[in-house]
Amino acid sequence: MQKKGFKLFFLVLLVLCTSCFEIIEEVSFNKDGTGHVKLTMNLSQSKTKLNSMMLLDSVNNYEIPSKTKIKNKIGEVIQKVKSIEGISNVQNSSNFNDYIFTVSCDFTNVEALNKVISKFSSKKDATIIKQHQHFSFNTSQNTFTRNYHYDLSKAFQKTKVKDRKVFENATMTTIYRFETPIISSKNPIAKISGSKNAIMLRVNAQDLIQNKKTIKNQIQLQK
Amino acid sequence: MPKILYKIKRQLRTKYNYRSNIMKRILLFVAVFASYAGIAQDLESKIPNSAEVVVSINGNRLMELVSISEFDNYNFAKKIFGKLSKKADSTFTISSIEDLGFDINSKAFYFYKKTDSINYHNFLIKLSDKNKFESLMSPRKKESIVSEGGIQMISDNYTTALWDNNLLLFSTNQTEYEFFKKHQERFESKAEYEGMSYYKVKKLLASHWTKNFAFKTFKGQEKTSVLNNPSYKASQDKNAIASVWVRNYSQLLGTYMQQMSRLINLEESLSPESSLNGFESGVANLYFDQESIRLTTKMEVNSNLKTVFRKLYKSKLDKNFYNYFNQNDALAYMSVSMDTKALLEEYPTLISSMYGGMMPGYAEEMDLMGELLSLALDEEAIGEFITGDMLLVLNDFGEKEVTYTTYKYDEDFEKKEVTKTKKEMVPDFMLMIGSKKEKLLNKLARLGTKHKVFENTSGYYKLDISKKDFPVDLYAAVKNNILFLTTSKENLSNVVNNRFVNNIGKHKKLLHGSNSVLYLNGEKLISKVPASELSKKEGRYFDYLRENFKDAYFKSSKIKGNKVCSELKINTSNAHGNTLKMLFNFIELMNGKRR
Repeated sequence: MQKKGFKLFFLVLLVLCTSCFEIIEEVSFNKDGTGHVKLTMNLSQSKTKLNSMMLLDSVNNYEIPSKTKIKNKIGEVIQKVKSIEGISNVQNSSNFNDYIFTVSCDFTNVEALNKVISKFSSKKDATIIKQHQHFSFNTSQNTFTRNYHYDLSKAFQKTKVKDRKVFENATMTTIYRFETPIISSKNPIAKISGSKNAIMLRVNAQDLIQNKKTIKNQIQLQK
Repeated sequence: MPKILYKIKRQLRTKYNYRSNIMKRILLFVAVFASYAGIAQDLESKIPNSAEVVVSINGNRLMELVSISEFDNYNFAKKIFGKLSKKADSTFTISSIEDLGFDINSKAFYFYKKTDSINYHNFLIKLSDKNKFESLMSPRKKESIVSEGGIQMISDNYTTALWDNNLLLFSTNQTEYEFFKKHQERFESKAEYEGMSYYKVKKLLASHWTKNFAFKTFKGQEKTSVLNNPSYKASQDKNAIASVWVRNYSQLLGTYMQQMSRLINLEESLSPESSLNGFESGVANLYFDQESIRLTTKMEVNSNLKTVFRKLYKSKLDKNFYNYFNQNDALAYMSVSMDTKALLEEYPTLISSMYGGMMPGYAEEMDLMGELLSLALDEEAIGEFITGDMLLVLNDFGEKEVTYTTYKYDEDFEKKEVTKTKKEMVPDFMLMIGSKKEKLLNKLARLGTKHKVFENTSGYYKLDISKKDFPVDLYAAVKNNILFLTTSKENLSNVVNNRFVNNIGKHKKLLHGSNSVLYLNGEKLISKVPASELSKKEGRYFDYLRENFKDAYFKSSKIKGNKVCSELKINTSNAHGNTLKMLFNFIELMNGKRR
C-alpha cells in the first residue's frame, strides 16, 4: 500500500510538471567499491507552471500535494533509505523556489544501491532486481554495469495520452566517476571525460521511453 | 419523407402545367407538414402525461441539414453500419441509415417515468420497414421474438421491446430500493414466490411490471398523454434538432440526490421530495442553424424564487464599464451583474428555501443561520463597497522572460549550477469590479503603500507580490466607481489619464441584456496558441477550428415572467453549408479523414 502511495506521489510530482524536468544520477566510486551517490531532480524550468498548480487542488484528476505533504513524503523516503544496510551519510535538500530536490548518500558496495531500488519497488520487481542487478561492479574484470529491467515503452502505453506531454522535454543524465581510468563503454552515446575518470550519458525521456536510446551501459576500467 | 409522398410529388410535377403546379405544391407542402405533425403527434400521444422527462430528436430537421446519401458517405457512419452488420442477420448488410428500418424523417423520443416502485426509461421510434429492423437482430435473438396480437416482443428482466409495422418501443426498468425494502415481507409471504430468493422475486416483479407498462404505452392506453400538458406543448419548437423537457427540475434533482445519498450512505439527511426547492419545469432546445449552433434553456421558478431573482438581477452592468472595453483587444471576457445588497438581503430566504429542502432536518438551523448572517452584515454598506458588477477581459497572451536553474558540466563532468532564461506565455488581463466606495478604496491603497504592500506610481498602484506566487506584475487603480486590477501598466495608465480608447461594438447588446456573459473570440484565441505547443493531431484540430470557429458566448438573461433563461451560441464561418455538416466533418477529421 505504502509502495503504491510512493509511486503515485512521484507520478503526481512528474505530472504536475507539464513541460521540462531533468533527472541527474551521479555516482563516484572508490577503488574498494565504496562510493557516493547523488540523485537530483530539477523541475526549475517548469516553476511558473508548478507555482500556478500549487494554488489548485487537482490537475488532470491528480491531487496536488501541499508543500508540507511533499516534505513529509521526502522525509519518509529518507528514513527508508537510512534504514538500508550499507547506506550511510544520507542527506537531502528541497528547494521550493526552483523546485530542485536532491538525495545523496554513501554506500559500502553497489549491492546497497540495488537494495535501495528494491525497497521502493513492488515485490515482483524486487525479485527481478535480485537477478538482474541495476548496478553491478565486477572487481575481477574491473567492469561497471548500469542496467534496468523495466519495459518503459510498455509502462508508457499504460499512461493517459494527456499525461504523456510531461515527458516531451524531460532528460535523464547519468555521470559515473572512477579512480581508475575508463578504457571503453558499450553505450555509443556515452562521453568519456578528458581525464578518462568520468563518463556522462544524457538521453531524452522520449527516446528512453520509445526504446530508441538507453541509459544501460557497460564500462570497462583499466585492469 | 414517406415514399408515397415522393410518388405523389413526382406525379404532380409531370401531370400538370407549371402554374397549377405552384398551387399543388402549396397544398402538398401543407399535406406533408400535416402528415409530419400527424406522425409526430401519433408517437407523442403515447407518452404518458406523468412522464418526468421527455427528450425528442427531430429526424425531419436532421435530414434537412444532412441528406441520407451525405450521411451514408461519412466514414464514421460506415463504421457504425459495419458494426451493426456484424451483429445482424448474416444475409443482411447495412449500407445506409435507411437500412435500419427507422423512419428517419420522423421524431424519435426518450421519456422517463417514475413510480413509487419502479422507474422506466423508454425510447419511442417510428418504423418505416419492420423487416429491416428485425434483420438487425442476430438469428438467436430473432428466435426469442414472441408475437402477441400483432405486436412483436422481446423481453428480459430489465428490458421489453415491442414493435409492429409502424412503431418501436423500448422500455427498461430501474427498481426503487426503498419500495422493495419496505414491502419485502409482503412479497416474500406470497405463495407464488415461495422458495425464491428475494433478488429473483424483485426481478420477476420488475420484468412483469415493465411488460405491462410497455404494452399499455404501446397501445396508447394511458389516461392522458403529455400533449395535454401545457408546459410541454409550449416547450416544443419545430426548428430545434433536439429538445429536452423536464416536468419538475427540483423533483428530478431530488430523485437523483436520493440515489446518490444511498451510494454515499447519507440516507438520513437528504429528502427525496424536495432537494433544491423552487425550480419547476425546464426546457432545453438545441439548434443547428446555417452559421451557428445554439442551445437555449428556460427554467420556470416558483413565486418565491421569482421574487428573489427579480431583486437579485434588477440592475444592469454599470455603463461606466463600457468606457474601458475595447472589442479589438478582447480575446475573451466574462461579466456578472447582480445586486450585492439584494443578494445579502435575500440570502437567508435563498438558503432556507433552496437548501432547507435538501436537509429538512436542519430547516430551522438554516433559517436561523440566515437571520444571524443578516443581523451581522450591513447589506447596504457592503452593497456600495462591492456593487455586484464585474467584468474580466482577457486582452492577450504576452511573452515573458523567466529565469530557471540548470547545470553546466566541466571537462570532468563536474556540474555547476547556472541560471538561464526562457520565454513563457502569460495572460494579459483587466479585471473591473464595481464599487461606490472610491474614497474608502483610496484610503486602503494609501495604507497599503505605507505598509509597502503597494507601490504608488503616478495615479495607480503596483502590487508588491512575490513573483514566485504570481508570475506577472499586477497594477491597481480606482476610477469612476470601478476598481481596476490589471497586468498592463499601459492600459491602466490610459484609464487614469482618460486616454483609454473604448470600442464596445456589438458587445453592448450582449452585456446590457444579460446578467452574466462568457464570451470567447475563437478566431483571436486560436491564433494565439503557439503551434510549437501542439502535437500533430492537436494541430489538425486547431487548423479546423481556425477555419470554422468564429466566436461563442454563454449568457444568462434577466428573469422573464417566471422563467430563467440562458443561451449558448457558437458562431461559425459557414464553410460547410450548415453547422451540423460542420460537426460531422469534424468527427470525420477526428477519425483521420479530412473533408
